[in-house]
Amino acid sequence: MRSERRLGGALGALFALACAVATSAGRADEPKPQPPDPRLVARGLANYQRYCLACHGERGDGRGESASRMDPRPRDFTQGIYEWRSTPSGSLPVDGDLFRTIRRGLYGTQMPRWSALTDPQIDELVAYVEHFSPRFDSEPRGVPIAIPPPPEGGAAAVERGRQVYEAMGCASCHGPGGRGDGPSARWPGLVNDWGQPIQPTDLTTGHFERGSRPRDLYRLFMTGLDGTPMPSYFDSLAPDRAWDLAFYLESLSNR
Amino acid sequence: MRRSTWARWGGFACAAWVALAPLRARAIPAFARKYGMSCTACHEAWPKLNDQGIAFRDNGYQWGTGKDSPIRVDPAYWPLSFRSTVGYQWTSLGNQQTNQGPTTIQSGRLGYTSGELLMAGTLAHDVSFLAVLDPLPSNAGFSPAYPTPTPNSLLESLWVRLDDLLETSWINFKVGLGALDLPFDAQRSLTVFTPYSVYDYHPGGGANFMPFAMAASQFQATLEGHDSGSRTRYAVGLIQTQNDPGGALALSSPGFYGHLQHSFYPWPDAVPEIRAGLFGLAGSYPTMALYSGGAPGTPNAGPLVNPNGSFASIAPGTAFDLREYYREGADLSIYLGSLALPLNLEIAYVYGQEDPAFIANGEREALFQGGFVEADWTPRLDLTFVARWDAIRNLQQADPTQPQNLLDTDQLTGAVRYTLSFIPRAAVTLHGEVSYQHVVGAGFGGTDLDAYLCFGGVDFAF
Repeated sequence: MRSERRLGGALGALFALACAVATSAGRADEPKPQPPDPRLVARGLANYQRYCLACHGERGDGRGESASRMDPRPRDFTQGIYEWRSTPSGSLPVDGDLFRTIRRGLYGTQMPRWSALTDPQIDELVAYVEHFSPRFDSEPRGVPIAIPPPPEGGAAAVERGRQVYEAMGCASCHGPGGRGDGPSARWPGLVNDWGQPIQPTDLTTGHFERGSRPRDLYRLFMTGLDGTPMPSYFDSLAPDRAWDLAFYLESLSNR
Repeated sequence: MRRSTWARWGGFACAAWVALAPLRARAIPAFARKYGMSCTACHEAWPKLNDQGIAFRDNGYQWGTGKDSPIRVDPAYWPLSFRSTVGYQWTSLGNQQTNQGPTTIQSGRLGYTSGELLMAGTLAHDVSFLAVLDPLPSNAGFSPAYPTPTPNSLLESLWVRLDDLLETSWINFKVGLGALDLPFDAQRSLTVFTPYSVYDYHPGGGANFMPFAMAASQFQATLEGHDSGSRTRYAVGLIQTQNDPGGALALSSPGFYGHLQHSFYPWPDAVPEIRAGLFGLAGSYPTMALYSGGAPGTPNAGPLVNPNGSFASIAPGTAFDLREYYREGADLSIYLGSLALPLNLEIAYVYGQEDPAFIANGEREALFQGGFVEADWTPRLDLTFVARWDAIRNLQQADPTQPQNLLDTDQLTGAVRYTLSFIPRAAVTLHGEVSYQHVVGAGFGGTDLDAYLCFGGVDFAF
């Protein structure tokens, strides 16, 4: 009897151990949060105060001294919501997304190109900006979407893209000619997640915040602009149709 | 010319330096208003520019994000700023000539520096401009006992720049009156009252009538270029020596200037940036002209300057006999620690050469070298400490009867700036500055001149 109990206990312990190993193996496959490096955050403070605080505010809430007079308003970093990402809608950006935004600026906004800052300075700023939102401590980063190689462009692709533009209802905001004058843009207009008025982009200017190449446009509408009414079309557009749409959008600025 | 005369002219020159010294300085809060940014975004410690400010300036005062052109800005915005410094200044000049013999003259008073109106920005996309008006007489507030302050020209700078020609940042063309692209910008120095001695040095002091000063605005047509971030930048141009009397050539008093700089980024945590540069200037200035008026039988042409040192009455536009002057050198800027709160070491070296015809009793080239070493430490965004040593050494006097070290100069300067406010509307800074200058043979009777300056006051711009 005693030996049977010992055997049962040993089997139970072995079973529990096996479950623990199996569970931890599964967790190892799950992406883990990647909070910003505390060392970089500490070094980023001085850079943030010098370059960013006047617009984005001491608490990173987009309420700097100058913010009320800006259109669009400076980003509120505390929500961890970013328009310009390479990752799927609703997910956190990767560090490279913030790095590019700081380095290149955002056309059409007051966010300048910080072209003279060194790479280490921008790394520190990225970490400091991220530390404003608890999402970076609790959620894993998004994985950049895969952008397939572009197919051949040309007039046929542009025409197919125009049809995609109509079929996906882009004109409701951006207008039939892409000038940002769709029905939704009229009064009372659109607002972002912070209740601030926002205008649909005029697609005919050729200037886009994160680049105007077809690849940039592809990434833009396949990731969406979180925090704005602009959705992601990743789940509703096949890659080939998405490329057609990108070629069409590019053609709008060439007219 | 005897040394005592040299000393008198040199002493006058140094006294003029000390007493008339309040520098023009360029900080333009209008940009902060336009873009909503803090002064600290572009100024390491205003008015001194940081790398981002240099890039902004090199880009023609543009960020390149579609908000630069005047049509994009609120109609109520005017690209207008005002800058001045008010406070108390005390000076001491040793070995000055009086009827009591050599005397140390001390004076102190409340006053202000010249107030500047600065207008800068874009006239259109990729067309930038700068205009600086100085409506107040120079040193109006800190009037010295001597020499008599000269009236200040109303217009200090006025230029237009065509930016990004052929859609490249490497080709920009600037024409007008403006500062040269100097190793370290004299108009954005952190010392308000003490200039970089070597920039405006003239071998022979008051015995040298050629007026060129490196730190002064020059008429110029300049090509400038830079890469993204202005890590590599150049300027090369044609200049017209300031205050020229007008010559018979298509361009009176022509000269050429060039400057090249490049930045390195060796060790991010210790030495995050080193910027090095080379510059050179070759200029000319006339020494003869046709005379105006005069009784029959008097010469029709002759030297620009009379034997007693006064300027002759010349017919404008007739100056000739161009003689040459040169400046060349190198600059090195080293950043230690954090670029956001830097310790910056600036080192400049200048070698100069001037034709003997510019200098009374000159028989050979006047040669000199000099420079400065400056440390600027900004431990907090609102606090900056400055320490600088300037030195000038004459290598050869134009007048062989003069001692080689005549007018050799050593200058020590310290300053502290505590900024009370730098919102995107204005900047207000408490400024304290002390300097000591020693000039060989510039005192009465050929003695050495020792000059002291202290200032405490408020430096502001809006």
